[in-house]
Amino acid sequence: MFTMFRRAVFGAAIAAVTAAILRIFGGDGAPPQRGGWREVDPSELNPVKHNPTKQT
Amino acid sequence: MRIAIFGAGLVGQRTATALVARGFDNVALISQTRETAPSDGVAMGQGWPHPAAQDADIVVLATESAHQPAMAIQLMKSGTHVVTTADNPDDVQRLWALDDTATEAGAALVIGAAYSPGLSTLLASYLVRTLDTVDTISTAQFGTGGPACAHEHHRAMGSTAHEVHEGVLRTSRGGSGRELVWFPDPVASADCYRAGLADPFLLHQAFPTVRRIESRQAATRRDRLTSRLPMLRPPHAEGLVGAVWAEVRGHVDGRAEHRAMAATAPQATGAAAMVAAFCCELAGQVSGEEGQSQIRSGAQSAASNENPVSLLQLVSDDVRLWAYDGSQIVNASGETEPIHAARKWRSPGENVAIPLFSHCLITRIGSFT
Repeated sequence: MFTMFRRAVFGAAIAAVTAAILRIFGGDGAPPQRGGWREVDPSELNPVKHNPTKQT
Repeated sequence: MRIAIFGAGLVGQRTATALVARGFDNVALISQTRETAPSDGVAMGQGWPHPAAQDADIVVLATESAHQPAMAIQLMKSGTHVVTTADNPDDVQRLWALDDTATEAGAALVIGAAYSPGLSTLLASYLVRTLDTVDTISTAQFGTGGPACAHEHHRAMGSTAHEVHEGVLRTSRGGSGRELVWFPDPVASADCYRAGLADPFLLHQAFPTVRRIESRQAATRRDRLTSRLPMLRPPHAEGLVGAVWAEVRGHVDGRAEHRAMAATAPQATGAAAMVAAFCCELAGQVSGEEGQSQIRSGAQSAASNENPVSLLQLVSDDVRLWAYDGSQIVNASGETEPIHAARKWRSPGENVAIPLFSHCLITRIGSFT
């Protein structure tokens, strides 16, 4: 019984230490919430191909 | 080139202004009530039918969506080219059914020349034509224009939605299928839902072999909750922020690819830009090379247009176009830098502490067991 309790405490301690390490040294939360969009000048639009879905 | 615009709401007024700005010098705006012109160079008129419609080469219908099919039939009988701004899916389908009437009369019938459908389907059409094969087309819209547009947004959220699934047009519940869509700033992210929109129908007509086509509109929880009730308060005069987003998924050179574009502008301005772009194109076709008319008669839409680049260039006078490349982000100092999922992946050497700790921990645990 005592051994099981000791293992449980040890497991919880390991989990706490791992969580603390990840919290402190891990990534800083959510990825960027903005950006990735680039304004397009109409002159840089590529000439389009044929309609690829057209039934022949 | 004589152009008559029926309906002097926000879209009608903006269209008149946009056409004058593009050099059309014979523009008439016909309304039931309005008497003052939105800009110089626009003649005003009242009532329907109106002599200006009989004399016009092109008639723009910016009236209530439900009135447009009947008006279009009457106009096309005399061979007048008609540009419609209807956004209600039932009215759009009724207009599309007039294809034979338009073809017989030798008239062009442009359907859904608005913001969504219109700009949204134009972006999708452009993206589709940049791929070799296409599996999925998705569009989304944010915001509303004038009061009529706000009423349509409300109706759409509470009515049956249309989408293409496995290549077949089917219905589903409006307000379902929440998806977080990323629009360009200032809109950024917004929850979008299925709604009674005309985009899937028009895209399906243009790209019948695409297996999945879906369209959503941005809405708040309150919009969803109250969508099946009458509007609880009168709509605002104009929504000042609007955006449409289109994404296609398919293959290029055997490689899976997805591409997204967006457009931002107040909805009424964007719709007017779309109408003006179609008018410019029709005017060019009517004049033709060496004075020969090259008009393509019958029903057509922004999605079915064979030259979306030309239309995009025309609308870009009033609308900002965006491409999503996902490769860069504008930082606080205004410079662009690579975008990544999270900071810890920014540079390999930055988080050397984690593997070091992990190694020590594993070694320590190993010594216990």
